[in-house]
Amino acid sequence: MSSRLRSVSVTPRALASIAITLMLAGGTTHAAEAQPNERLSGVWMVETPVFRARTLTGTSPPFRPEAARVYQERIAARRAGDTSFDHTTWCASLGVPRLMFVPYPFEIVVRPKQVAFLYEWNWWARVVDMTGAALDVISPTSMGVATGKWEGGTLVVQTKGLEDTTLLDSAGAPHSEQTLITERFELKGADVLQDRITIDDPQTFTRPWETLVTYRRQRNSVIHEDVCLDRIKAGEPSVKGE
Amino acid sequence: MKTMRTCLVLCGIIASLGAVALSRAADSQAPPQPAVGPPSAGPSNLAGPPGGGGPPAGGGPPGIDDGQVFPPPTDPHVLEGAWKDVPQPGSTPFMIGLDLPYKPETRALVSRRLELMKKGTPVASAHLTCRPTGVAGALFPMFSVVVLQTPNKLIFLSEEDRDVRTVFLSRPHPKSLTPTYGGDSVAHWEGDTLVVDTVGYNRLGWIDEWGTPHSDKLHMIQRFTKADGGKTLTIATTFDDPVYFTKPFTVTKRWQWNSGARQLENDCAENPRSDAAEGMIFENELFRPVCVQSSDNGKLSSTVTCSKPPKVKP
Repeated sequence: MSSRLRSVSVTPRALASIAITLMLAGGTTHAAEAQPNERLSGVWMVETPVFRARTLTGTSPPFRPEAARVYQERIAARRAGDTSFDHTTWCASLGVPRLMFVPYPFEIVVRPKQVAFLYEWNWWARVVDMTGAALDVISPTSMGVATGKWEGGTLVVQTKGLEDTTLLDSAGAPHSEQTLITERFELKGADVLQDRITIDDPQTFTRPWETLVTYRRQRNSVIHEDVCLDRIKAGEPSVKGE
Repeated sequence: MKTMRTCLVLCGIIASLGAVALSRAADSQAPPQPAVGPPSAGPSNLAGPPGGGGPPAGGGPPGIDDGQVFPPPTDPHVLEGAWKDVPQPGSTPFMIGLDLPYKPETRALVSRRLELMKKGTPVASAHLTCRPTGVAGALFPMFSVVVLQTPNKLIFLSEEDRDVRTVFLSRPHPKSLTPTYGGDSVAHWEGDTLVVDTVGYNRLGWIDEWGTPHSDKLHMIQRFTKADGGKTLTIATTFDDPVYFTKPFTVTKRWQWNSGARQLENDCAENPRSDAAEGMIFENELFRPVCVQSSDNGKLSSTVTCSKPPKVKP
């Protein structure tokens, strides 16, 4: 592009026009690249909710035999109306990475020391530490300990210290407290965000595996206070779409 | 945090303070005077909740300081960072006060709730039953508060899972508001003071943890001003609620810069122990639990049982 521009006579107005066009097309100009990170900020919604997480090639995760048995039992139990294995039934936290799969909007707030994920579902927040500090696990939790860094415009988040009472997906994929989740958040255009998730848990899986989730920007939208316990009191499901 | 820590802490507070702060509830309808100083007995985390104490000297309680020390921003218009509530000397923790301009029926209601707490049968509040803490949470955060600030908004993140408060700098209140526990907050700067205006509350929350009510007509105005080179945040909160009070009143609190604080997690609904709800008085059926983990003399059942709830609209 640049050599072609040099070979022809281009007026400043034409250059400005090209720059604006490129920005609108997806933000590939230097001006837009100056602050790529801010562009993740905003309200997002999963494009296709994930009930049963699969690998990039569409296969079932590489469960170890015991984990596969638990997984199948849970799928059968939910089908039979028994969700006692799923703590969200009584509005406990969805946890990571399941929060990234469910059909509820979330807002990303990018700051220098933190990136916050504010989820509409039961008004949860997940804060990623961006200071570079080595944070230890005080006690396993549903959100774990999340640290992040920028690789160009890609936000790379590592999460450890996840309690084993949460499910990896709504189908009921189990995991251990040794689980390490790596997420790579990357914009694919101004209004499309991808989260490439690597799940590494040798106790549950024979090898690390990856899955991909896509979100759409919800322009002019905000997240609303959601109270799961009030919803189940009204006879609604704790997580919709299940 | 696999227990209803909110309830464990608060119920502990209620139990321990009951005898102290409420001993003067007397037989009159007038609310008692606040106790002086913290109770001599009670949960250890009352005196020093995570994020509520000074940095530990190696191996101290977790969640307070991880070695990352950030000085407070000196810009009076920058509130971003970690803060902690500083209990006022002579005040009862999580109590807004007892000299408020109550209407007679409000005085009776508060007295009744205090008496029930004194008996060990607290009224089930939104907070105790794992709903958003609303006004009480904004006023009396139990743990560290992390503030994020962008040109358009401030976000107050409490450790409690249901307390995320967004304050919009870029828009007025919407014309049509669905009432919520947290209300709708907008703000503007007056000099170096951030003036936060909140309306749109529902009728389910309290102003404090002791039963001081508010209505859906509550209009709350808070004036946040930094002092001491950014180490202190003074918050003067004016409550205007003509349903429960004869006139507006103002309460001033102080938050302290809490450098390097890490927030833990409080998954309030995770363990719905039946003994946490036993003895609670349910003024509002909405708060009665749907799912319960039964407890027999402290021995918890391994399963949680959910009843099909009656239709109760929030």
